[in-house]
Amino acid sequence: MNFSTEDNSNHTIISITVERLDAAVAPELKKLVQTLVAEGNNRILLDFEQVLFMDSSGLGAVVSGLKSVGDEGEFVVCGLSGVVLDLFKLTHMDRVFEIRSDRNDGLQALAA
Amino acid sequence: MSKADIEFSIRSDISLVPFVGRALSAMLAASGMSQSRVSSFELAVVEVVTNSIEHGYAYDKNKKIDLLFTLTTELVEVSVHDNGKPLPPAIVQRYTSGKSAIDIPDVGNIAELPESGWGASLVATLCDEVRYEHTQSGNALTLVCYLNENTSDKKIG
Repeated sequence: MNFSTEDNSNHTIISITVERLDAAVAPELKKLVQTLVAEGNNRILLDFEQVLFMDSSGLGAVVSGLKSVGDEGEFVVCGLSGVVLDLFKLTHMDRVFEIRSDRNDGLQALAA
Repeated sequence: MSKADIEFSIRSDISLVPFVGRALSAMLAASGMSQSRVSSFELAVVEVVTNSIEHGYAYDKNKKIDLLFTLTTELVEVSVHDNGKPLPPAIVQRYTSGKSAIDIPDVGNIAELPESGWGASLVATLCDEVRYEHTQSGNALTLVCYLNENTSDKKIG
């Protein structure tokens, strides 16, 4: 597994447990979020703390996750650094996503 | 730079792409290039190799991609060769357009956000020079990045 999930009463935390979120891993993330949403979990925190590298395929899966939760859901990302954060900025996705520094900050955003 | 310092090939399997990135990072570790610049160039090379597999070879895992790495005191150059179908002119234009603007998404229209299509524009933005050549032996996309950020007129981040 390249991801771990932690279900709480009103949100789910997805931790990416690999260093590279790329084309080999992205389809699994996309499917995971779709499954969670289908099960009624549409308030999601995606934790990038362990991720050192992401390509545009990985970013595409993250965008897919945001779209999957829909207008009624919430999708927050946290723990971005280095080239991962650069990629959000280069593609202007930093304007689209709720980006928080770490997991605690991300959980506060979901609770707000 | 008539001869590459390092040449190797991978099968066109998406799970092998990380080895390309790691080889590039290892080669540049003692080059004096900043870590952020190494990571950005690694991203560009990974995008090109991934595109070769996805679009050039349509995910056929039994094809081959050749990589030629050259490092000088001023720059690093990586050539990615495949025998897949030629790149469409519109994609070549995006690869070679220099630091082109990546479309700003419509923040208010989440449902229509793109989930793909950034690759060529990212490569153009992250590299100092991109050259494309299609011959009888296939596609060759060559990426160049100066080691020193000040040598380049481009900056990311």
